[in-house]
Amino acid sequence: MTEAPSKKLFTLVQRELQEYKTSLCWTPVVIAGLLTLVMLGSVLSANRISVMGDSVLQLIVQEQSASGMNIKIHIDSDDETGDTLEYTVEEEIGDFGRDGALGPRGSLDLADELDEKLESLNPLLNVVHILLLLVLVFVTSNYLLGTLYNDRKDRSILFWRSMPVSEWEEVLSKFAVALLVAPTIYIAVSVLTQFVLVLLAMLLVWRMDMDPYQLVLGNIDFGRLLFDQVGGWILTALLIAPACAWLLLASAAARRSPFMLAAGPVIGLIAIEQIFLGSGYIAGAISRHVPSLSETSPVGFYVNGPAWSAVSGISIAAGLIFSAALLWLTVLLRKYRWEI
Amino acid sequence: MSEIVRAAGLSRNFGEIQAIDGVDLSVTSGSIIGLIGPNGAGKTTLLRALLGLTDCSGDIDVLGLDPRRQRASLMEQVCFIADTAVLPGWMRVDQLLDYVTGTHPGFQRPQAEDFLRTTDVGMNRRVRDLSKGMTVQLHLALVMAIDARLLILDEPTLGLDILFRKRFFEQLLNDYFDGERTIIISTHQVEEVQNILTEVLFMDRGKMILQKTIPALAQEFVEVHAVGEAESRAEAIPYVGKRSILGGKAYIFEGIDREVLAPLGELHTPSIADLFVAKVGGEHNHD
Repeated sequence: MTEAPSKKLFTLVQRELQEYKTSLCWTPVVIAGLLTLVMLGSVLSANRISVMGDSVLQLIVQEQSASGMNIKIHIDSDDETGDTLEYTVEEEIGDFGRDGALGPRGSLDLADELDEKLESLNPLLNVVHILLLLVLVFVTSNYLLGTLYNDRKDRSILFWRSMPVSEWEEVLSKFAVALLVAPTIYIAVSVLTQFVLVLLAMLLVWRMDMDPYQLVLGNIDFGRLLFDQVGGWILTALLIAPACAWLLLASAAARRSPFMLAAGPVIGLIAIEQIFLGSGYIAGAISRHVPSLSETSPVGFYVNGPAWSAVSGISIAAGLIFSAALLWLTVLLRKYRWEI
Repeated sequence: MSEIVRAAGLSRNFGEIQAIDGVDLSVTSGSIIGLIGPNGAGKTTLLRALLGLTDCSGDIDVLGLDPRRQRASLMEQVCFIADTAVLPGWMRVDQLLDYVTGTHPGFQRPQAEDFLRTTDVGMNRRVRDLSKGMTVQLHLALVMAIDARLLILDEPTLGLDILFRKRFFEQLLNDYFDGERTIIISTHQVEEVQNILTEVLFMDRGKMILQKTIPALAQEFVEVHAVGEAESRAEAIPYVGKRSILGGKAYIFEGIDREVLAPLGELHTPSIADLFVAKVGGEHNHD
């Protein structure tokens, strides 16, 4: 008895993936392939140009700093007497390059020193993940805006609606593709890419006569990485659900441009509120449910793990209730006002 | 023969326009019904109301279900072909079969594949690359492989050449219709379907102006070919419509005894097309 509903759900999702094969399936694979090629190029080049190997490793350290992590480094400095002293300070890694990258001692025992300095390579791998998530957000927005509009435009809706699939099944399957299926594909590709990059990094380190297990594997916490990236998306998905439902509604309602219908009223409401009330409540509420890389935005991608405590449970609940209302409206439009 | 469609006082308006206006309808199983009307008569709106594809007021029951609330369940027993261009162009034929297999419990995929093997429709071809005729054959393959009790066709052969149209109706009659299934066809090509119909429905400006079985039609309507002085005698009897023929006029009468009409000229059963023109033209002339 349970086979039929699950078979139908699978078919509905399969249909979406077939229609949006390029953006939902091939795009992340191509990006992953390009990243892998770049890394592979670095590995092959590093064999011939020894300096390259150092540079790549330094880049790794610098990338790590870009994530905002604090690490301890040693800085050589001259005191007032002119004698050269060596002392240790704790400093933001952003200042690390100020005295000439790894300094004069950097090349002496690079592997050991790097191993001490690298607390974790996870932030570097997160860069790959963030890149794919940014593409995912763009791709799913485009998908949501088009999915309930294109079939009305080409009239194939008459075929879809001649099948025993309810409007709720149809709308929810598309919503699930945007929030669950497409992210699953992108995150899976991201994790796989990160794994390949780790292997290539190990190869690079090995060719530079250093210990790849100690230097690379020893500095990656795979469990934490997976938990952070998957858990981070779950929180993000809960927060952006109303934004996705809004795009779906615009797609179901639009007669000409779903994008204009999605953006126009929102921009208009924000402007009216600011002009007549001088407040920014709507803009604030929306910013809490739109993915952003801004440090001030509460909706990040949570690549460092889901920050449940930093997010208001009321905001999530309100967003989900609003999402349900928008989906209900979408179903009504799909039922009774689908002709363009 | 059980009643499978029953509608009473069915109405639907789009703003000021009354697309269907208090339509009463009864359809029994095992019929092939022609829904005939001029453009804008409300045929498509009526069919969509029966399918739950548009909202409407009034009572409606199709196979024991209310299409407005139970469309998905209804579609397990009802098939629908809108016109030649509604299959999704981006899909491959095999993907389309996958989709119907996964969503329709009554779909027999091998049957559809067998049918397609008799056509030029390849499994790996995209729907958008098929000709109109092949697209209709593909749609027909899907429909014929579904064990549905009611098939609704809304201008299914629009834009097809005469060979495809002929083949379509032949296949429909020979391969699909089994005497128990019911087919409702809305079409402008009345001449092509009139020989397969068991019943006709005439619609004009949202109203049902005639619903008769073909035998009842032959019994109630008579066409008289009046030539010469018989013309003036025919004019004296209330008629539904008339048209010019060689040397005289053909009059269509409703409910007049054949013995009364026999002296006026040759008696014929009017064609559905002529009867439609007479009825609809007559309605318009009364305005």
